[in-house]
Amino acid sequence: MSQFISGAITMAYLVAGLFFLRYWKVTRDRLFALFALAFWVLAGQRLALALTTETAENTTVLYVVRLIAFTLILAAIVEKNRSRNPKD
Amino acid sequence: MAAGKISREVEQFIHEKIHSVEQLEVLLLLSRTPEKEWGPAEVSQELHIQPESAAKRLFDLHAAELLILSQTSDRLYRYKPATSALESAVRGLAEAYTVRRVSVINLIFATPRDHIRVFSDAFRIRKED
Amino acid sequence: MAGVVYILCALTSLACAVLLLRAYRQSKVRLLLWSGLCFIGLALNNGLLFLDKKVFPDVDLFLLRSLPALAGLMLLLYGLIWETAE
Repeated sequence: MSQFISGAITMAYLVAGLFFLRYWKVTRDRLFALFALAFWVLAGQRLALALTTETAENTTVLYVVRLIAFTLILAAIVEKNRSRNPKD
Repeated sequence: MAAGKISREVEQFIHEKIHSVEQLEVLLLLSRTPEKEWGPAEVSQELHIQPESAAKRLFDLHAAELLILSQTSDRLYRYKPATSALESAVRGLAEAYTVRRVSVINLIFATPRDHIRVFSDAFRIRKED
Repeated sequence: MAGVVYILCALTSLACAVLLLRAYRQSKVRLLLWSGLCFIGLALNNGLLFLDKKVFPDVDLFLLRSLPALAGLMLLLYGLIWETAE
């Protein structure tokens, strides 16, 4: 069951990332590029998590990858708030 | 976007406060007569809409801080925006609706592309005035 | 270290959820509702991850922490597909 859920989550991250990529293409708003990247990193993290055997060290490295994904999202928010009118 | 030369202020206002042409009509009706108190019945007669629907629009506009309740009755409303920024946005909207009616209506029926823009703007922490 | 990462991820998700839901209240654009709920799911996922690894290391909470993430992502996909199709 957990493998199935992991797979579903991975797929959902990938698809959501694809949507954000499309929004980036349409709007050229960097926020979407960063979101797409973040969601794909999360997908990759899920995939790697499913592939590794559970040694504590490996998983810690993987959770740093998770941190990278959320840092990307944070960066997107920070950038959104730094520039007054990013799109125009 | 097909918005023509509608100012950013008005566009923003439409996105945040206006969700239907009916609501817009009710708002403009009351803004034209700021001294008059309106109830659902009069609004429905004036605009040929359902009284329940008129009551709902009045309620929403009041919640959006564009109308105030009458001191004598809790079913009567008067146009009185809470801030001068809102007041100026409504003035701009009224003018835009006369000159560029189609653009305004298009903005109300925001296209999916606008949903994407709203998503991105959600991450702006300080609101621009 | 790992604990800090989980908390940080949870807080970031929570911040996204708050911003999206706040904007939803103003704009009523439902895409924001679904994506806001998604980030609540992700925040729960990260919060439970912290509990799983740091507070109850002996119990495996995999299902419990993964389901909010999955549910949230499903809502997000629903919103992305339904609310932004042209």
